[in-house]
Amino acid sequence: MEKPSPEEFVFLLARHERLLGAYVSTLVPQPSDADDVLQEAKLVMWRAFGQFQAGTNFAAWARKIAFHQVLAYRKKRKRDRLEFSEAFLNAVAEEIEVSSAELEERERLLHGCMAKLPEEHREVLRLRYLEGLDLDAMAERLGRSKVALYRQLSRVRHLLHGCVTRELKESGFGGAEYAR
Amino acid sequence: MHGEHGHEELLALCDALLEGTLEPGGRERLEELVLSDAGARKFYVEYLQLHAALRAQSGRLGEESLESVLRSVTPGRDPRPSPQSGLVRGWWLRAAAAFVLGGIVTGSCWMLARPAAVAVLEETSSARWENCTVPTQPGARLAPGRLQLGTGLARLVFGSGAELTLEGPAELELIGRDLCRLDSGAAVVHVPREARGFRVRVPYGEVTDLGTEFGIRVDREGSSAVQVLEGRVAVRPGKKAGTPPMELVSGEGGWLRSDGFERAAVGEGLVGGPALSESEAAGVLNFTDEITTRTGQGAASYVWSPGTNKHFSETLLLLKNVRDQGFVRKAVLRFDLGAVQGKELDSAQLTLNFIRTGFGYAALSRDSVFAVYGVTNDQADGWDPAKVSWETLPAFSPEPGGVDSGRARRLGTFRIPRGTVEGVYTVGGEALVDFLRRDGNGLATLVLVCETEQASKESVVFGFAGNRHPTLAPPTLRLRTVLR
Repeated sequence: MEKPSPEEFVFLLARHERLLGAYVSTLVPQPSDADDVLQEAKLVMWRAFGQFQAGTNFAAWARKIAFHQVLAYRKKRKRDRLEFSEAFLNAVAEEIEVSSAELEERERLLHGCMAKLPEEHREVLRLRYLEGLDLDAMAERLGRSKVALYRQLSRVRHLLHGCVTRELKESGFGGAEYAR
Repeated sequence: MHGEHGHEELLALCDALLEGTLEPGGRERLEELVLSDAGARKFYVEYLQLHAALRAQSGRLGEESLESVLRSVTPGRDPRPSPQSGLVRGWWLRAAAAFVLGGIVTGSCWMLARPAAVAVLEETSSARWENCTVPTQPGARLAPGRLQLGTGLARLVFGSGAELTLEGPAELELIGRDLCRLDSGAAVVHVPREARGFRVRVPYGEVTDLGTEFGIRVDREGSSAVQVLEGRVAVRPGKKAGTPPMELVSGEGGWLRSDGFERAAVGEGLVGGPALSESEAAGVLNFTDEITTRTGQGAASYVWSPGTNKHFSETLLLLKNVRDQGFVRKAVLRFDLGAVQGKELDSAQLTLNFIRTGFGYAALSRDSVFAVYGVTNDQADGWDPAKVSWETLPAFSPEPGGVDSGRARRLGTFRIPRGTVEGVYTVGGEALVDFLRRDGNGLATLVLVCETEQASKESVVFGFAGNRHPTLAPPTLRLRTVLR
């Protein structure tokens, strides 16, 4: 088997980086922790890239490495009562593995769904995700209560989830019965 | 399995998790739900991935990290005059990283485009964009806005299915899924059956495609040459014009002017139109090579005087000249001339994309002259864009508007009138060509300063697109070479 080149690494990582970030975030919901884990995972991937067999599934390979980093991270932080159990992480990771193609498709459909949102909803998304404001900062900026913004963000995410699920069905992808 | 109640509880737990308000008890309940119910597991994964996708779009996730990954394991970050084997790997990795990072940064613009997309920028060919209000990365979804294409081709697919290939120099306003306005330049429009009715407005009227393909060119005076390549189009002159709407079929064409529509013979565009003026043709066709500060070992950075403690930019190169310490900025560019080595350089032009920074007030600024200097000592080409600082700037001089003239040559200047904060500026000529010809190591370092001292430190900070700007091209050298 030909040894993969560093050029391939950059190419593959670029293609899969976003989904890999989503993968880590699903297992490690705290943003700063997720960034750390992702960073570590990329480093390990780069070091181990010589063992990656060109032509095999890079995304799966990368997820495996990232998963180990999540576990290692959890071990370091196990005194924290907010950390998820290993059983939970395993179950979630397996779920992602099983539905990775569908999740990829969902991410693709998300853009179209966001385009359909009314302006007021886009505004909170923009502040929360693009500008990275927390609820306090958003409340101050918009002159609205934190509770109301919390509810709105929840509603927008739920709307988007529902929209993506509908579009997915229309595009012929199966499943997604749970959230209507 | 779960009823509406279970779903709501799960959603509430997920939201609390995402907003950082989940209590330990809530986490336990969330685990319980997710572990015991396949539907809940699926929802949890989908919901968190949605959140992650939204967050990743912001460009925060992973933007810096790839570069630091590469940085931490790649030997020899500093480019040196003659690349050795390990180094070659180093610089292409950096180039690749710049490419990757560029892509990610670009991806972050989607949310700024608030109205729904009306078209997708499918592909470009040798495109050089000028002032655009929408993203110009191939694949970008475009909201209503303006595209200004300096040179090259860009293919857009509108929401209705109509396909428009824009030919620079051209200015196009995207209005809707089936409507745009061509203010200048040329385009070929292909309209499949389902998109019939696609309209292109031009200065003196409107053209509606009834299927399938037509060409249109708007000249400087605003007159438009319309030519049906295949199928039918309807041409509607403006209201004040003296001629009624009419239909054209394959092989027919004519001029849409202020006084109405007039048929004309066709072939290679329309007969009777003005040929491209000599200078215009020269601007478009003359150059054989294009090198940006992102090419090869290229680099772009800016430095600030000691004490500068605010207003920095990741995407722009900042410039300012003022007496006060702590506000001066100069930029430095490196071009990798590898692609043109061994060729005879005939002409050269440096292009910079200036853009509003939002720092300082244009009203408190003067007409400003900018100078481009070429650093004559090849040994100075190895600066590191991440580390270069005020005093390590090649050909450093403490003067806020100058460089050490013993170590650099003044290659040219351009002037930005007061109040102008956007536009494309170029420097060309013999001095630049001569400087590049004398280069001995395949790398050219240029320093850019603002020569005009501003009256107030509150004056505007000038910015031009650097290597990471999401839409504007980085500093670019256009060269014409002939084989030696």
